Amino acid sequence: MLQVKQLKAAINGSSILNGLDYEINAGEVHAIMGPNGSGKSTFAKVLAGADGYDVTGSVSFDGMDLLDMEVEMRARAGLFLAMQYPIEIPGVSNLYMMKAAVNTVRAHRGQQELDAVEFMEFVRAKLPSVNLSEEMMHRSVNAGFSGGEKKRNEVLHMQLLEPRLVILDEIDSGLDIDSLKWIAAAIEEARSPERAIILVTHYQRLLQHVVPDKVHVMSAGRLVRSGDHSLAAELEQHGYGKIAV
Amino acid sequence: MQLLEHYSSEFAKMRQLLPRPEVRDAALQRLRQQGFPTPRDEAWRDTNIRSLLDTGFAAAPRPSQAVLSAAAARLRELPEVLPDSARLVLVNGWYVAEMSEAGEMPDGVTATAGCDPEDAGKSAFALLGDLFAGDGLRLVVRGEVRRPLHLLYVNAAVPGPDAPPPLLFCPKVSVTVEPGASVTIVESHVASAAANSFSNCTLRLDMEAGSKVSHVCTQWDQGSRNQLQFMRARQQSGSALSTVAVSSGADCARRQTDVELCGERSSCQIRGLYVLGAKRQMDFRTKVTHASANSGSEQLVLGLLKDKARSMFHGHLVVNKDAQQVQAHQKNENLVLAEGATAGSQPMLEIRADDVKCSHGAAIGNLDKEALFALRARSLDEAAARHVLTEAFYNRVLEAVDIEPLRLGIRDHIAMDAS
Repeated sequence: MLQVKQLKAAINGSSILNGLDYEINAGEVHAIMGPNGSGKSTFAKVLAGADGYDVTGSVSFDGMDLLDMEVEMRARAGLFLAMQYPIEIPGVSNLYMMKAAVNTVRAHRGQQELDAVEFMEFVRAKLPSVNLSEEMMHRSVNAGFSGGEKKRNEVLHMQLLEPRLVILDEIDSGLDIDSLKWIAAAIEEARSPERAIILVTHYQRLLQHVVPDKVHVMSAGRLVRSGDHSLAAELEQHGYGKIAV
Repeated sequence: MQLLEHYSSEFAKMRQLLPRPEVRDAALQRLRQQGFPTPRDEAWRDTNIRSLLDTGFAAAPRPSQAVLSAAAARLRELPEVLPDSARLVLVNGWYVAEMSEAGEMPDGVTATAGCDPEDAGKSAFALLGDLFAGDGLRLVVRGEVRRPLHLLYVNAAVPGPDAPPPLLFCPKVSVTVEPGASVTIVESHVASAAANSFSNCTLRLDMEAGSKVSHVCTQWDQGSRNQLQFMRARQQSGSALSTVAVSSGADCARRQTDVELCGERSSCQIRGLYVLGAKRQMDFRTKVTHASANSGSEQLVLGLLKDKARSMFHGHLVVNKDAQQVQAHQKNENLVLAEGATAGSQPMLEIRADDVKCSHGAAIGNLDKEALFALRARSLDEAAARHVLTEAFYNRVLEAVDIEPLRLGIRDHIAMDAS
């Protein structure tokens, strides 16, 4: 589904990704791990189309040239990024934003748009799985949400948009035990033969709940090691020092 | 000097046609002593008064039948934003009872023609207003009045073979809200027929103890090149004022809101929004004086600027020496969407009491890039994302407008202006 070749990215002249090669297929769940500053979040943002990076290399997503597509076209094509730091958007209600987003994606897929009632039903059906209240949907995006609520809200957006490729950037950071379990269960639920999921994470904690098919280690803007889920346990035990050289 | 001579001779021509001419003689005398400001004067340098100084406007006389017909036609074109309101119409600055629902005012409201000139702190342009104001409107409100009062200021001219002279309109409205009374007042400034005109408007609110006023003023008048609006409120104990002013500016536009909190536990909430495009301008000024302890004020003034628009916010906050336990907060934020546009902000706090909570903040910037990315990453295209964020910005002011059709009408206007 996604093939990344010799991806390089620099910001303000300093290079962060240094010729990264990567591939993920539909139906797979991958973990990308690595120390701070290794380029994990940059990789996620560059895939989503964030501004400010000088990018070279090639990225093919379902046969399309991803790097040539605008941010919103990537989203419509089915790429979803859960942000590491979900931002607050005062004055824009969660419901309003997501209805606009879902209907844009549906129109792109040639599906009928949902009216207000249908959309509300759609949202209501998803809320228990992320333990968010209906009241929070009427609030501004992430305004006054706790750290865990913001992350769960990102997962809700994923559920509503039904993407092909999911990138969850440190979805497990700052979570209490219950939030972690809800999120893990929602990711498991999202696992499908049609979908690829990339978990960008520092820790093994999430991977005890969501067992990845592959674990990759990133260092200095490249993937330096790959393996099955036992690699995560190894990292936990020995740290990145020995492996990620 | 030429300008003073022009207005002196205008006044001499009109004196006998104006109500209470003797009061106006004093205004003329003061105007002669004081003279007009220059564009460099501290108090006026952020208002584009050049054309006010270069043009000798002709004071609008009591409207003729032909003018009234033109005004009525203009009113019929307007969408109804206040379905169940009592209309009060001022044409070219003159209160017109027959176009108003004067006979069917809500219980507790009396509306009469005539309005006393202002007294204190006069600028030359305010004196000009005193000099030429026609029959204004005097309102007295008793008890709880549920139907909103809709003040419509219509400026109209009759098309003739010759271009009409540039006209000066000076509507004056005074409202006394009796103890415990409550009322909603909406002011709409309706587009002018005259290409170059000067609207010089005054609203005075006297709020007695325990009274409540919800006030909204909209001005979309793009025909009138010069717009000065002055609103003054005096509030007695326990009274509460909410005022929202939305404007699309003008070649020369200035709005001054002065609130004096004279009684304990009186409070005011001032909301302002200017949406400026082309070369339009706005000098938005507030002066809130806390003359009494335990009074509160909250101000949120937002600017949305495009093209080569220019704005300035002056927020003057005064807390008198004995006004302890005052809470006063002021915020001005500007969204500058084009490189050629400029916004300025000048808070001025004079706090003489020591046990108060006061804050002020000012911000000038463009749309938040991260928020734009977050919305686009959820599939909204850039234009839609910008629209959503812009709307979120100004909704913070619009949410203070309780009447839904009015709020939606304002939103539609802004969407048109901001696109």
